[in-house]
Amino acid sequence: MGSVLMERGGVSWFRYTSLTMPEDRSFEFETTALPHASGLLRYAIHLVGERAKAEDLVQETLLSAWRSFHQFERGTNCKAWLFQILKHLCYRQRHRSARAAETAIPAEEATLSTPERISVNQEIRQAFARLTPEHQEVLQLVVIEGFAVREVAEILQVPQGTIMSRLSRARANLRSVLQTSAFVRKEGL
Amino acid sequence: MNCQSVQELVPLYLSGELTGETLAAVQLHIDACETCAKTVSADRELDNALRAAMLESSPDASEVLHRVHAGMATTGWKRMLRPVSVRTTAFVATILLIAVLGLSMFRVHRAQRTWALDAANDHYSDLVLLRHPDWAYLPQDVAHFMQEQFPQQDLLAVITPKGASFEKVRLCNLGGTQYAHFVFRSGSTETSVFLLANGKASSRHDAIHLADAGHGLEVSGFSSADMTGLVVGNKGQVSTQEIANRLAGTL
Repeated sequence: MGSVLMERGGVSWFRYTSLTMPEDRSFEFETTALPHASGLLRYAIHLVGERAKAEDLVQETLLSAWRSFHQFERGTNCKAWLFQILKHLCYRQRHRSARAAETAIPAEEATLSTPERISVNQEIRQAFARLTPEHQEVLQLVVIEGFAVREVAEILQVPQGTIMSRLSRARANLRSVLQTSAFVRKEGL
Repeated sequence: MNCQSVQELVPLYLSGELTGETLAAVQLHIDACETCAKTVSADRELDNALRAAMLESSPDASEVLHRVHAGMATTGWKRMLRPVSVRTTAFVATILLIAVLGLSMFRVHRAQRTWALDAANDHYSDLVLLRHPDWAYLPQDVAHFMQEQFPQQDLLAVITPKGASFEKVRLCNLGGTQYAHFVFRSGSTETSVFLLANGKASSRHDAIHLADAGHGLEVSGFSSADMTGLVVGNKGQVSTQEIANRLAGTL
């Protein structure tokens, strides 16, 4: 906060210390933050394993972001900021409930169809669900959500080298799980 | 750059985070090494397949967005009312409170002082400059005055200072309010007592003492349950404070 105030000078001093009403940034929030709701929900389902709880977590994340949106600096990565908030809230919830940090297969995935009807995509999703939570997490953030390794390191609060090695092992494990299936033989992965 | 060091950098290569010389070196190796090229290609295809599979069953977030919009609408007015800095608000409120209290105390003090100076000036005008001829000093006139102004009690005996005797009385104006101005004499020394029944006063005055009210006079004011008054006398000859304290206790 201090550096922000130093950089912005007197204008920021006035903004943070005056009794004027805060700037209305609802439109900016709608167009910058809310489009990431689907990605947040995917990640929340991965973290808590249950659709209803994941929706509650995303709602809490977005409302927390809305209340703190005056602290968000324009031009920085809003998506990474939101995922950081979600991860932090999830950590707090787990800490409170002392819930085991196990990731369950999403309900809709747990009742997959018979093998004959399993599509290629379903097969990949099933293989993904068999990975460890850590491997699922880095693949989800890097491959599916499109974060850079550096950003994932910030979200998960771990060194960048750890993310790189975890990502390599996650890809290798996913390929290993898929190797037994007809998908890999057919696609040559 | 060998195969092992390239394999370590593949995650950054695939996410497009390599730049400059490192990117050039990795690219050069991949172009030349069939094994590493196959690994990179397989990882890229695996990523594409995983992305397509996961996004195909992407959860619908419309319900969450509906709830978030509702939450934003209810918290919006709170945001509008919330000052940015609570500490600043407390500081400003404290300063304003001190300023209001200070101004209020200053105004009360100034009114008290003006009230006392008016009494001293009236004493000086009446007794030194002899500007007022409307005194009641004959017994029947005094009795009539007291009956009109203070019919409910026999004041004269009570308010007469020790060692002094009643001389005269008249109505005078102090700050827009009519007081009864009693004069008592002890030798060549005159003491004034200004009295007003509280029922006639627009506001009560707290005790005040002016050691120097001008013209060589001192003034002490008092308020009792029924009366508000002032005592004026020559500085160093009459203890106006002592008289005022006695009157506050007896009236």
